[in-house]
Amino acid sequence: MAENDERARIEEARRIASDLLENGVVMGVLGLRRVESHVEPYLFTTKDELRDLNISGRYAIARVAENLLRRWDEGALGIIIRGCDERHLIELSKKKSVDLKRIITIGLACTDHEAKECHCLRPYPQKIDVGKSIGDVDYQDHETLARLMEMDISERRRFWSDIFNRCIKCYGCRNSCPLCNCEDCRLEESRWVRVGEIPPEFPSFHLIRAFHMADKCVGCGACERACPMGIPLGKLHQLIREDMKRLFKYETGLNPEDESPLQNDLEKNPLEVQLDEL
Amino acid sequence: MNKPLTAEAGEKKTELEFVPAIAVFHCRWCLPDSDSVRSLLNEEVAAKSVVIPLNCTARMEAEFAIKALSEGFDGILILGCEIGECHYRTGNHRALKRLLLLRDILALVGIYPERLGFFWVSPFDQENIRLTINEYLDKLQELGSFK
Amino acid sequence: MNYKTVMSTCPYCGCGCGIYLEVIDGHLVGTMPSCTHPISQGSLCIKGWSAHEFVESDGRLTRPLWKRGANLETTDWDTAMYFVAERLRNIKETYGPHAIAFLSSAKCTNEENYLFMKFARAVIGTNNIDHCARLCHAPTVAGLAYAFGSGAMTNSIPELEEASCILVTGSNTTENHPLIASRIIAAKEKGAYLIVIDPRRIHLANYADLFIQPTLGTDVAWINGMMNIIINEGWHNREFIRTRTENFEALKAKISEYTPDRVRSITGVDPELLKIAARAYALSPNSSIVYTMGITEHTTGVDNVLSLANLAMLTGHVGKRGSGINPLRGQNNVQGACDMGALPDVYTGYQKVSDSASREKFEKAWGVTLPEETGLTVVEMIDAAAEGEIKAMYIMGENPMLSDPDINHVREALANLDLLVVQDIFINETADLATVVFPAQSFAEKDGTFTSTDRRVQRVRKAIEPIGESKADWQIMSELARLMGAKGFDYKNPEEIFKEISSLTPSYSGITYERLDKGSLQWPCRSLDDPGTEYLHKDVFSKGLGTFTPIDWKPPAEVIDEDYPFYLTTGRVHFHYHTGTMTRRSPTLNREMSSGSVDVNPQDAEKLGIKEKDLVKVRSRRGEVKIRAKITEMVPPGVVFIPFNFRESAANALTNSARDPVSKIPEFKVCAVNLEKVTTRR
Ligand code: SF4
Ligand code: SF4
Ligand code: SF4
Repeated sequence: MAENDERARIEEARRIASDLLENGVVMGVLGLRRVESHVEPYLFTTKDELRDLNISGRYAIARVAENLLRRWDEGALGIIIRGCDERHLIELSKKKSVDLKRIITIGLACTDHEAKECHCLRPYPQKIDVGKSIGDVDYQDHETLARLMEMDISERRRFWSDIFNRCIKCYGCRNSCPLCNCEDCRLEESRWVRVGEIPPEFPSFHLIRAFHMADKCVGCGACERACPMGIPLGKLHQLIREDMKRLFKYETGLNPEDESPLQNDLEKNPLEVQLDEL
Repeated sequence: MNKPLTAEAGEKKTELEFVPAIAVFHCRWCLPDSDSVRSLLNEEVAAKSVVIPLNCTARMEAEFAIKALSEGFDGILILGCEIGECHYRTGNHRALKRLLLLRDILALVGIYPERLGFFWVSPFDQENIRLTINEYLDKLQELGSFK
Repeated sequence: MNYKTVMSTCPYCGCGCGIYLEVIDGHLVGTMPSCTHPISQGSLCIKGWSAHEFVESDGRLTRPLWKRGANLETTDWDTAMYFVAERLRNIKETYGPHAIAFLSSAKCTNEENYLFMKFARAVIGTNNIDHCARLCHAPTVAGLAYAFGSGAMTNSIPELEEASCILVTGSNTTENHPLIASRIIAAKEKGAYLIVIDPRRIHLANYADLFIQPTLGTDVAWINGMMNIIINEGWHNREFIRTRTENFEALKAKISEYTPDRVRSITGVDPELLKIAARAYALSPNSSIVYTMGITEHTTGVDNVLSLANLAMLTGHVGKRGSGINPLRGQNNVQGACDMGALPDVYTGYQKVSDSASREKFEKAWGVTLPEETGLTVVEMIDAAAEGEIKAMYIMGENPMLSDPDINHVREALANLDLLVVQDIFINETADLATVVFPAQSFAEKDGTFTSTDRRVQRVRKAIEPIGESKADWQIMSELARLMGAKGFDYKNPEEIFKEISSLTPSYSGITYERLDKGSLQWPCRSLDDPGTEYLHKDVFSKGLGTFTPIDWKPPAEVIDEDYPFYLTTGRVHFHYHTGTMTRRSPTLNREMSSGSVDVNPQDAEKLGIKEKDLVKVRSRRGEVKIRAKITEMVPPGVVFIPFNFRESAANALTNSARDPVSKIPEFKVCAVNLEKVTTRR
């Protein structure tokens, strides 16, 4: 049944992609294809190639889209996206890293099972072309989040410094995140993080990244999945997202017109908390 | 969602001889002179600390504070103009938001947010500034060394 | 316009991560981990993430070079090939085939290593072929083959997660085998007990349940000490010893000499700590040992390996899922280069040159008569070159001018040759001395296979067109062989070479490209429906009964004295690979670390008045280097550490080429040096 469903969804995505290619409105359609035993990102440029189209496998594909659009200065790109990919694109557009006008999305709603696997809250894009939305859910890893929050401050310090010290500075967290794409990355500059040392010094490496991502992160969890040392980066970002909501009532990935409260003054985005003292 | 942060679960107990090292960032519109800012610190603290002028607290990036912790400073003190008094009108609004967020992030990973001090000062009230700074240093005394 | 990803295998370390090469309009622009790959599982280390960076870098060799006067000048392929063919033929005729020696490469594919060794043996007629495994795991191959009958990692990388106790010794795993360290951490999260025994306080030590820091060069002593405790406490596995091993009584007699007090006096290890380690290792249901160069790179390398094998058999911790002895091989394809017979005493699959049946089999397949006598090892080749017995050397993708011990001696030896042919992707210290340099292709430009440390055979796939006029090593070898009139070198592609390998190698006989397209296969894989072997020695050792060997501790070849009061140990660092030929051309990696430094303990630093980043002179009986100091607790007092990755501060100007008597590995890990601050006048 589930497999049938997947086949039907692939069929539908293929049909739409094929139309886009046929009508010549896009340079190509970015998606996943199955080759032998694995599934890999691929830019489909002919209808023939769509034979191998696939939708399983999790690659934060907006990273590739950004790269492609940066290298080709004109034309539109088709892209098969899920909810998290769409939120990446919206945030990339706020950063002026992609021009949404050059993107035609084929939106894919995730199944309940897929949403669970990703600890997702919103497993659908705003424009759905394939599959049916299961609506908002709450599949967060509450157990882990609660455990992190229940610790008192010194336990937290011990936990995080210990777990950050596992870091082997692979930059996988940064490389896998579509939104962590600054040309000059502070994490690479010796004035902010000492170079050539593992683990990188606490707390520079991890908190600089955490802070930079605070008003961009859409909570996709790609960074955590890429971390070879099992550092719960996704959980940390989830907690920071909660802080962003509490302090500024701000949520990422919803509307390309929204502006980060960190860029604005208090008149435009007042604080959501009482300041009794500083 | 944050649990109240209480001092009794200290990172390290206060030692009598502990003298905190701090990084002070001050706006040069309300406090033009770094030397006079330094003179507001007691001698022992001043000897271990750095004082850095900023054009506006909006210039205060999170990296400055985070790197200061990495480099072994026990606290970061930011002194800027009161809301409404900013030379650039709203520079300090952005600073305020960033610092509030940074404090939350510090707390998440178990660093006392109080280590990040952020105070609005009026250039006409030196005594009040000295008092504020002393209170902040007392707090750091209580929290002990960061490392 | 075009964007594709090409599934391949990381060209750096033996973990063997699966990476996608991202190709835009014919250029390599990035890499990505494969989420479905059994090793990488969506992660990579910094080297894997930047594996594309060196491929199209400026320094790539694009045309053949040959020496005109004192300089290397460009020439065309025909000229260079004819020249080399002619000179090789000449030297062979004048001095005999054994005046020619071959250094193969753990960076090249299996197909290329196979062809290189076929060239040496079938075309030239010599067994003088070796490669850098001599400098890392030769003791493993010799020691484990003697004890168990097979010299490879007994388990698979993913299985480490199933171990209940992991003993890591002489391996700085997080730095050098990051994606294996990742499994060790995962195992620990699942409750495994982690023991780290290392003279240096390595990164992983912070996560160990127990960390023991013995004196450098005392491995046999602490291992014997651990076994002494195990036997006295009755923690050994009598059933396993009775049914699966031989020679236990002899071991027992020897071990009884290693009382905890005696072991303490040799190693400096507190007997109580050793007892905790012994108990955890012996009594956990699934214990695994992980080791690397810290065990092998000694004059007692084979002794050290045999001792670990003793320990594993004594407790029955081998031949089970998640439990065994796991030497981590360094280079991406060092396992493969050994499997392919790029060694002086064996053909593919460790079939002995001295065994007439194997010899006949290869003679028949290749249509030639093959030499019987074992060839020279790397270090012996260099000595023979220095003495004028070796006249020509052919070096494929290696850089002995930086990787071998006592490099001043290496330079003299290479300069003494009549012909030095180097085949590489960049000019390096060795190529500078060459008569002819052939431009080869990187992993991204060719097809083939690598075999990673857990005997995992995987595909390497062509992602971009060759850079300049470069050719793949297998093409160069085939063309040269044909030019020299040899038969049986008409391969159209690497797959044809692989078919020949499978047909001659029992452990590879079930492996085909078609099967590899569906995923990796671990040898032994003997038939087309054999799924491969996750762990070795189940129920019975490859050789039948496992053999215990009583071993005595011997001090290192060079010990400290008044003139040279510090022990020097060497190794790699995380951000670079070996001699840096590739990594130092990668901007990402070079930014992280662009020069070497010597690690000095704070106590020693204070005594000598050395401060962080001071320039110091490190001197041994063989040479000296000037290098910046790094003050760190990572090394204990009395010991200094220098990575060998950097040419301007080459650790191997200092190291001792004294060798293990059996495996001939040089003692990289211990030599005596002195240390002195360089005072600069202002
Ligand atoms: S969860 Fe991680 S990868 Fe995803 S957007 Fe946030 S920071 Fe980036
Ligand atoms: S992915 Fe993990 S190990 Fe790699 S740099 Fe990020 S936190 Fe460190
Ligand atoms: S762990 Fe080894 S194989 Fe994996 S990415 Fe790093 S260097 Fe490559």
